[in-house]
Amino acid sequence: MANVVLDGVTRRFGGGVAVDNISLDVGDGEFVIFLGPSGCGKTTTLNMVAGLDSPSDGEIYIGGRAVAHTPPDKRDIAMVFQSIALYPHMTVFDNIAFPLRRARVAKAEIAERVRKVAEMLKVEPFLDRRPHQLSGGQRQRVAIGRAAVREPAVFLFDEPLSSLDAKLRTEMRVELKMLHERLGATFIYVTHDQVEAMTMADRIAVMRDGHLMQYAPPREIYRYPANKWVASFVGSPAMNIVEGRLATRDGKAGLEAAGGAFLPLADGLADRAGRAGGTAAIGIRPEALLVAGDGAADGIAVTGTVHATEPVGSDLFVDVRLGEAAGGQGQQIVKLRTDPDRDAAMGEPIDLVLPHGKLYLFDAAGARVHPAMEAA
Amino acid sequence: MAGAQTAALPAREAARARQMSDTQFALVIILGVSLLNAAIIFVPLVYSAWLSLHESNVILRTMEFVGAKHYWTAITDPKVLAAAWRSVVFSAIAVVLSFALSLGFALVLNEDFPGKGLLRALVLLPWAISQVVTATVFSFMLNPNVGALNALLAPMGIVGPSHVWLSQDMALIWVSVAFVWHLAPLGTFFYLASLQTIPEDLYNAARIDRAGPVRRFAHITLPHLRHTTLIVLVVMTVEAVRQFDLVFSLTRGGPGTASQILPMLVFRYNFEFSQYGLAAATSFILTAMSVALAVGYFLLLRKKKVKKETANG
Repeated sequence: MANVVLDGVTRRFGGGVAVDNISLDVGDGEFVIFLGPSGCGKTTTLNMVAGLDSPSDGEIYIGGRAVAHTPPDKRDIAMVFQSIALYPHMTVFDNIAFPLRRARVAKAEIAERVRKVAEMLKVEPFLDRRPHQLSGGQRQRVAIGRAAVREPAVFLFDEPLSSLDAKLRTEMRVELKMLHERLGATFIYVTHDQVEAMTMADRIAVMRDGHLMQYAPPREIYRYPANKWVASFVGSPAMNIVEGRLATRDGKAGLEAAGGAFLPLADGLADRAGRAGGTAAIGIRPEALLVAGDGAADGIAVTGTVHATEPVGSDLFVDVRLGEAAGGQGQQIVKLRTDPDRDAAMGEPIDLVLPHGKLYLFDAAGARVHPAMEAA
Repeated sequence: MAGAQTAALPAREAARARQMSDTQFALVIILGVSLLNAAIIFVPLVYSAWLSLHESNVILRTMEFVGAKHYWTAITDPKVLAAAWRSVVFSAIAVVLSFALSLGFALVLNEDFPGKGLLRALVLLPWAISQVVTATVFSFMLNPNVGALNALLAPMGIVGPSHVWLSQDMALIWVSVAFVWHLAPLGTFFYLASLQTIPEDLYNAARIDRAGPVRRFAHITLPHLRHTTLIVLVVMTVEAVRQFDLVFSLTRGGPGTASQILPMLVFRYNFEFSQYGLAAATSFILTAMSVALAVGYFLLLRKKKVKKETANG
């Protein structure tokens, strides 16, 4: 068992910087997910932890040992790849046994350990088969088995579920979480799927363009996103961001949204986002946005027109164009989640309420200025 | 306008009726190719089979059915047997060396280094240029008086002045080497294509699994290349067994009959001695040799796979 520490890790390629000065620590036995869109540097970071790539600057510690330039086989890690990467000409048994054979483990012990892992991952009936004779899910289990059989201190996963279908992905998420509980090892997992990150991680490292945007437990990332980008990246559907300028209308300070609507803010709040005339943004999640009259919540009232509807069975998502007059230029669209039985026709006027308690406010630079994080 | 529209309708329907179905269209297309194939492959093949069963007399312009006589002559004729043995030696040298070199070249060219694109293109060049040109280059190189090899080796005292390379003993070896120069790039090309389809993650996984470079090669690269190896060996062997152009251009089968491989003998029987029947019979034996070797490789590489599967089971 071991903790993993990244200290100022930077990776430059040619002219560009793929990973820029990332520092974070992964506790012993913790399940940490690197989350970000493609090209954000998450896989490069993982490869550096694995030893498949070396940092241009900075140091990596596994179990307190500096390993930035140690080959992968001397790091006590195992990795599961996006492409699954089973050895195609070997049977399932040989695939799982491969790392043990390389480590010169006794034959009887290999058989015992492979059997144990195969049982745990429910691939025992397939031990004599070859990878191409297995389904995608079975292959992924074997790949996890090949990693688990070594009993490494740190498990690395590079988007292991992205090649599976949606149903299987959901099942594997639960199983991976259980596997983590069972093994008690440190897990570092890379994905671009925020649902995977939210459901499995102890802590999420949100990355963008080689920078670490936020490193916190999933609930904290959802409730207190560090900035506008994290706010709109985590959560599905994405948080509504209404861009505008700080202004005063009828003696109330608020946000004059691009496209017309005016959103008055609670006393003193506007000051925290900047001076009048400066840009700012209000954020509200689709599930927090209400239709006027539905709840007694105290909030900002704003009118709009129904732009589009998306019934998904359990919910109805309604896209609302903000502002008095329909068809105005540059009107912003917000999405709200509502009762699936509600009738909402396109073009119909609709009054919304943005509850004060659920509002986010971002300053000109995109940083969150409201709400303040509550002391834990 | 309205009149034109109604008038156009029956015409369009008639056109549709005239149109062929997909099946008909496919048959027409295939028929063309099949006729062409029949004309250039099947007809000559049948004709030479017919020839191999007849004794022809060019002067009297007669054809006499002789059955398997030519085949019997071919397999008992010391000239044919000697040429067949030279073909075996020639093919063995050519295939073994070409195979080893092509795999080696491909592995080197598959690495990442500056200028690899240019080098990959250059390595195919010897295969792309005409065999007659290759023969000319080699005959210059091996020329006893003005050749590059003697100019290099004679002053160093390794060979005497005006050393004859294409000698009675060595001519067959040298034509094989010249043919390797022509043949190896083709295998390199196949192997390089195959190497580039190996997922990088397999090597990464193996590195993490503590497999060193030798293990990675043995457990990932070699198994991946098995099917390519079969193709490369079959293509190389068939090319070597039926080789004519380069050897003819370089030595005409000489000196004497030192480099007279089987296709050269067929050529002589046919065009110099006008023994059409014997030439045809010999070339059928040659074809049988190629097919037998190709089947042999196939069985060999297949068997290995089956054996491995049962061993693991």
